[in-house]
Amino acid sequence: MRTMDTLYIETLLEKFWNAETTDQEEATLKEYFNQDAVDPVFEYAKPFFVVMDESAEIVPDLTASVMHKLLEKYYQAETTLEEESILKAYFTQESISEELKPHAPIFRSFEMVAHVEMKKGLSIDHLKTKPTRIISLTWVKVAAAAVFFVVGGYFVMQHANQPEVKTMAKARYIEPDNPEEALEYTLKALAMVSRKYKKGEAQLLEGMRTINEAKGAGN
Amino acid sequence: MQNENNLFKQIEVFKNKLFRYALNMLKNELDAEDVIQELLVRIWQRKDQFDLIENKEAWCMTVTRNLCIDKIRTRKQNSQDISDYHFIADHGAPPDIITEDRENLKIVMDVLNSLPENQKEIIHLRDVEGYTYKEIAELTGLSEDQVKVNLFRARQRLKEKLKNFKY
Repeated sequence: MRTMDTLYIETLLEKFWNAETTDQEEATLKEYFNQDAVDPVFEYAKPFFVVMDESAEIVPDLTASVMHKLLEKYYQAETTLEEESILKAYFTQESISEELKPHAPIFRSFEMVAHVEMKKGLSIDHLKTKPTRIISLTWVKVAAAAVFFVVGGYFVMQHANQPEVKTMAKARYIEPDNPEEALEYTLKALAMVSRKYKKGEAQLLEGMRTINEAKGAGN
Repeated sequence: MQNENNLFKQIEVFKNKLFRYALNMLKNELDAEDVIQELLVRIWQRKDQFDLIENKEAWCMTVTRNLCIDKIRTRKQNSQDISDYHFIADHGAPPDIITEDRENLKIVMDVLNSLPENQKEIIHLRDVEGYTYKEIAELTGLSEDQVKVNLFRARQRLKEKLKNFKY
């Protein structure tokens, strides 16, 4: 194994505590801590990396100082999921460092919550007894089309059976027999239009007079 | 029938996670079961589309969350009178649980229940279910930074409340 200087390990460890190490760097740390010549300065962190090694026993053998470090990170919301599972494993076993015991209830409680299971099983019968609230869209389309055709057909039939109604124009249309009669009808029609026009004009003048009076009163 | 069984097998894997999430939000076992039942009905009615969903767990968690929010909005009164603590103590505790753990659970649950809803939800998703920040952000609609801030506050509150704790 290559020799690694203290400064390099210290840097890697610092990065590790901050969850900033790459997989390669973590592998380097594991390699370092799983050999015999570990610098006494880093001895405290050794159990941590041994536990993370997949070939190692799962029995937690973490020192209080490492747990302290992890707890600090945990409360700062800076731990990785792996670090949090190490904390859970440590605090849910029996041999917890005396000074760390006040933190145990948190992890032990979370562990209890995580074991809660739904008593009721998933049952198909359950679903079959539940009234269906959603109707298939295809059937909705079919039903809508059927209603459209029935109602539409009814109105078409109604319209077809109705007797022809004479329009006003048709009802009043009179075919004159000679030019004199035609002139007479034309004059009558013009007189009627003239009456209507005069009536309208008179109403307009009346309205304008009212407005002018109102204006005068306002001034 | 084979398809039906496959459908339920897929959900069975994370059924308890969904239930715990609903329980955490609703504080009531029966309401939580109702929500899971409603979720199943929705899946059942759209089982063809459900098969196409890539991350079924994430989808189910999101629907469960929405159903819980609907339930909270529509229920006439807050049914927190049935404490989830008793339920968890009865169903989550191992048979050889010590009395101390039961008592401590009540204290921790009281602290958690005193947290704002988003903090309570986030600490549950992270510390109980082990979701990543990214997954929690997607589920709650918050940014990853907001998730971390809420988690930080929730854990600080726990630390503060439990610092003089005797074990």
